[in-house]
Amino acid sequence: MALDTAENREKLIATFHLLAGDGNFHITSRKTPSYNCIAWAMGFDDRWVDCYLDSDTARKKWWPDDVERDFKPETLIKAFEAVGFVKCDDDAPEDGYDKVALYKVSPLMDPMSGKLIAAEGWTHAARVQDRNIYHSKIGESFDIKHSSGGVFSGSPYGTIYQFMKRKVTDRSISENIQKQVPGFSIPDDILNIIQAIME
Amino acid sequence: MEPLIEYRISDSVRTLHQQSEDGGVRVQMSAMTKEQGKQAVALDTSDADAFATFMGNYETWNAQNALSSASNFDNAYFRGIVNMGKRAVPFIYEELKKGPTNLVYALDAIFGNPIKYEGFMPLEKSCEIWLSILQKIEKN
Repeated sequence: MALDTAENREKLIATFHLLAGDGNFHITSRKTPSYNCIAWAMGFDDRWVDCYLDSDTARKKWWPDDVERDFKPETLIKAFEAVGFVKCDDDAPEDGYDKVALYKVSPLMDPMSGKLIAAEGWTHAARVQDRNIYHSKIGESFDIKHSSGGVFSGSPYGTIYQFMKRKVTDRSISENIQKQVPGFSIPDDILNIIQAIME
Repeated sequence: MEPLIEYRISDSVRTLHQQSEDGGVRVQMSAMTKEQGKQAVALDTSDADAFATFMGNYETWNAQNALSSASNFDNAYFRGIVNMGKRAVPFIYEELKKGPTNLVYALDAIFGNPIKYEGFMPLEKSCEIWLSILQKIEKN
């Protein structure tokens, strides 16, 4: 089934308006809720990496141990450091390294009262694919390729605030985490439990 | 009478009919299992309502979360699906059969979290577990 169709592209352009004029914008995978942008940038394709706290968070979302769960931009940097990335100055391709770009939205102030309406927070991460080409996963939606720079300006993803890099040989950090087999147990009478509720 | 909607649940075929009754219009769902060869489940108008309620919640929840990097299961529309209880289960089952879906977390909530997880569990694996359980229920 064709993915990079005008209809699918329009679904994203409706939110990320600058993609409309981006000659590098292409849809590269089907929609999936299995992983998000942060996971994709870290090298995972089986998990949702997210600090948002809600009921039973630990079972639904993965977040590095010992990194606080909040949306402060520096906290996302710590999360990437936990899987082997270090800060770097730019997105110029560098032999032997993978690079990522981290995005945030700036604080939104009420111009009349000067009060804070919305806090600054991290929003998105993208893999640096090549010079001027990034590879992003968009929420539960598609993977896309797009230009670097400000293609998400004015959208909920905001702008780039930090570049990070990791040795290609350290991709194994994420690969080894993904290999870990999660534990679970199903009660012997699970069918009875469900049938009793469904009756 | 022509069915308005037809959907399949493995061995069963369910059809939604529109029927005239006392000059009015009545919506009815029925299910026929191939194994039993007889009508096994009769669902009335309230279940057509359940389908509409489920889809309304599901589509709105998707629309609000599809592009976000942070998933939110405290969302009112997700809670709306959970609050439907067992009436939401057949529709969640249908979505599970299409592929991994966050609706699996609604199943956990509806059935009181019977499966015990040791920390993080990939969505795809969660969906496999629940799909196999519901398939056994369907066959019983």
